[in-house]
Amino acid sequence: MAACPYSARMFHWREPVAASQDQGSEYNVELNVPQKKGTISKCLFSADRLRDGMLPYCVSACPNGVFYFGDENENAVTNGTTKETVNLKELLEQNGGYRLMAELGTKPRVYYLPPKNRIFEFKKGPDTEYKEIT
Amino acid sequence: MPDNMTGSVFGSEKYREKLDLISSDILKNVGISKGFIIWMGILFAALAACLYAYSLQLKIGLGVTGLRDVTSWGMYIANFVFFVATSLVGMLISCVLGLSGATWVKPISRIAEIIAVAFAAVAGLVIISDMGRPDRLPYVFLFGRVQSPILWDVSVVTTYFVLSLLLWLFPMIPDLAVAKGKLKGQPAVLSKAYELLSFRWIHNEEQYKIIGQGVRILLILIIPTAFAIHTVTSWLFAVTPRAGWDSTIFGPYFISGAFVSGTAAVIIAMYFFRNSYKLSKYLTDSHFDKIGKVFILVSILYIYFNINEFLVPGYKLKAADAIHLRELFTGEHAFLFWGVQLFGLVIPVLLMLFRSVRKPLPMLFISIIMLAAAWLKRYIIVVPPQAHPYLPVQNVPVEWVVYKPTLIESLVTLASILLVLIIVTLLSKLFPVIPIWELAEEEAKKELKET
Repeated sequence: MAACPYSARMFHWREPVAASQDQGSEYNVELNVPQKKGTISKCLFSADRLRDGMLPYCVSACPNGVFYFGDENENAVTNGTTKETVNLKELLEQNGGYRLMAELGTKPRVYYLPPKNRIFEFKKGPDTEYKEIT
Repeated sequence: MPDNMTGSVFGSEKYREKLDLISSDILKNVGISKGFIIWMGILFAALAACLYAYSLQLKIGLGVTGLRDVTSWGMYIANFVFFVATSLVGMLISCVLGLSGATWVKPISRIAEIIAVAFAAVAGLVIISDMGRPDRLPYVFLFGRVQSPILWDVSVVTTYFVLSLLLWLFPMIPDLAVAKGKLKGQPAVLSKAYELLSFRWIHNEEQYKIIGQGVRILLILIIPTAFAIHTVTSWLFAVTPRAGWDSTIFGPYFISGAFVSGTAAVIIAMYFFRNSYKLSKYLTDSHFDKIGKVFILVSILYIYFNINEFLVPGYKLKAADAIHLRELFTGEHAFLFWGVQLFGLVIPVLLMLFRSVRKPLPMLFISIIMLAAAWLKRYIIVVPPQAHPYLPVQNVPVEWVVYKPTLIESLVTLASILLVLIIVTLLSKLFPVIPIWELAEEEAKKELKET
């Protein structure tokens, strides 16, 4: 928990809400279920879907098509919305792709593309401050 | 420890005489008494309440604490660091000072060992209280990976505990042999324990030779182990890339801090043992004066590492460090930070420079304040760096970000302190707290030299 600089992990501080629906089944590493109190989870890029040759849930569900997913070795990524497969290296080079905190040496394989061709005015959202939800 | 095994001392009449004299003094207050029963009763009652709090944590989960995904290490880990730190004093007093030939530490070396044993034993339990699945503890040993600092930590803490326990027990064997016939009005269990733990000691010169060598080996072994346990504890933080923990001097910074909290604990124990067990003949004002000087030395060393730890990143002010340091120097934790540094470190050191302060009572007050400050210092080291992770925390409830210890958490932490008090009381009240034969040897030697 404390060691992850990306805050990409979460802990089951109490009995997980959805724990009962998988109760009794054998632990599935790819799905991270059944969830257990007192254990850690993190995003596995929907490993169960990948095994079946499908894109992760979040990628195929995003209506704005902002996610590309693929195999770095194949140098190809696919957009979940338009189903368009593009060359990863070219995509990153032509759009100024970058990684978060690559200088920490954790070799992250999530790339980000800076915004371009905005069609509406950008409003500054929550930046470094956390907001209290009431 | 016998540095010069002349052999003649242990066979001499003088030694026997001194052994009788000192043992009758020391053993007067050893054993179960009314005060002991009442004190232990209070401790166990309080412990039961605290264990109830822990049972709630076991049932509901770590969610009963103030810990959340952002600040996932809180009071428990701070407490763990504090316990490991305090236990290190056994190494400082018995090994470093003892091996360097400082004979004045002899009467307090066993006190230091008791502190080491109690704090090291409970440190291992404290870490379990922070585990989400304590039932999986054996997995650390069964499936532990050498790359994991957790495995390093568990291995060295257990090793240090075992070595400290041996260093407490081993030099006490002759004392128990002396004491086993002299206990009056004590339950048979205690004399049985003495009988068992004195391992048929017959005050043979050959036995003294063996014990001298054995103790020496233990003393030497404990030094690297003690360095290892606290260095590894510091590495639990220093190997993460977080601002505030990402420091190359964390090892020595923690070890120097450990000497401060440990010395404070020993002085507090010395004061109470001296009063409750009527030991002012053996724990003299001069001992408080001398350990006061040791206290000054280790505190100045710690101040030096503090300056390094905060001034250097404070000069560079790298973005992430700057956020963390601003919180400490002028922000949310400024009150705690400056309070601990000034009242828990700098001002006590300045006060102790005066000879009149290095007396038992003022030393007790200073030690209590410094020990409390040492605990809070661990809290400052552990908690604030987590509130500002590299990636911004967005759109979450404020209590997920700002760590506030809960009552349950505080009670579980209190349980660890009660456990230490229980162990210290058991070891100091049921067994001779001052090394009898070592003092007898020293006095006999001194008098034989004079004649």
